[in-house]
Amino acid sequence: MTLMDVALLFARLGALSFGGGLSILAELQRELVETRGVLTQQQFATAFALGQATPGPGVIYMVPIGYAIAGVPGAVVALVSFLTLPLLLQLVVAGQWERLVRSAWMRAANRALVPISVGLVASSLRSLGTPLLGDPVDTAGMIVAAVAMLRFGVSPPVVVLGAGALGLLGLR
Amino acid sequence: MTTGSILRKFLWVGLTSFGAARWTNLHRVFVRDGLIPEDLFMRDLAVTQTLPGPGFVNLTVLCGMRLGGWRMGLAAGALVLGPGLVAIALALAFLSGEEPWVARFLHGILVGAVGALAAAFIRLASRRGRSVFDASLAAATLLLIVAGVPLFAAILLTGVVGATRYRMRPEEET
Repeated sequence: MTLMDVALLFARLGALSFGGGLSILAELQRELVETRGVLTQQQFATAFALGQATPGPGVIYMVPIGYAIAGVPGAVVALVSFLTLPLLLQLVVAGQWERLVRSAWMRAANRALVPISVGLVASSLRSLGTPLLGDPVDTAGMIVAAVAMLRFGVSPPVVVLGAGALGLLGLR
Repeated sequence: MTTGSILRKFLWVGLTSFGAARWTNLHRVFVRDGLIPEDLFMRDLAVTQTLPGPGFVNLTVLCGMRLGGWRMGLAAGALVLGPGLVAIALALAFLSGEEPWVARFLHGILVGAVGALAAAFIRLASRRGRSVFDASLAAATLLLIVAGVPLFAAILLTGVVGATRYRMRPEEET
């Protein structure tokens, strides 16, 4: 993959990432692992995990994925390409927001994007979670993590870093 | 408040933001401290949640612009990204995924992150006010992507169907 390919792919996905950076995980995995074959499933999952172990925006996982594709230039191009189009769109729309939300069609489209985002998150969950379901310990770990957040209100960083610590101890 | 202290606040937000609903961290630092009026913050939040892209980064830039123009906006965006970028650079420079302990740690992180994603999905899907049509639209989006339909086409198709339905039945808007 050339840097131009990286730029075009991440710019396209940035422009389609309704619901945030995690909503396009399935498409990114399909492009990089299945269609283009530039990363293995393991490399993709490791790069995503590294992004989740750091503070800041969730979208930062683009950096280790870009790095795995094309080194430091790939990391820079991936992040900048993903961020640029949506940011420019935000700046244009922010100035027109009051006028736009008066449009009935705009409100209807906005309403439709909520369930669509749920579907996108489900597709990301499927693409990342399915390979883990083959291992009973991983499956139990995912369930415990989800229950800890939903039932006991444990915060996401505690869940994610706690799972990393358990993995370190060989309890995965 | 000086420019330097505002920039330090953005850096602090970048250092301390993990997991879902990171925007609450911005709200705590800038709205509760009286630097940005609540109504303007919520308006910017609505903009970033409607449009595509990383909402937290975009909201940070909009907050920065409210406090000091486009230069402050860009600086704010860079500062919330900075701590994570430094952590990733250090990890890539000094850690190898080939080392067993690193591989075990990252695999544990992956399991935890997927569990957290599952929790976020369950919360989103079970929010009050969801209708059968909402569930159908979400399921259709998932099925189209699983069937290999390109993301753009899947979003366009479900978006047109959904917008038409909600335009015809505005009472279903929430």
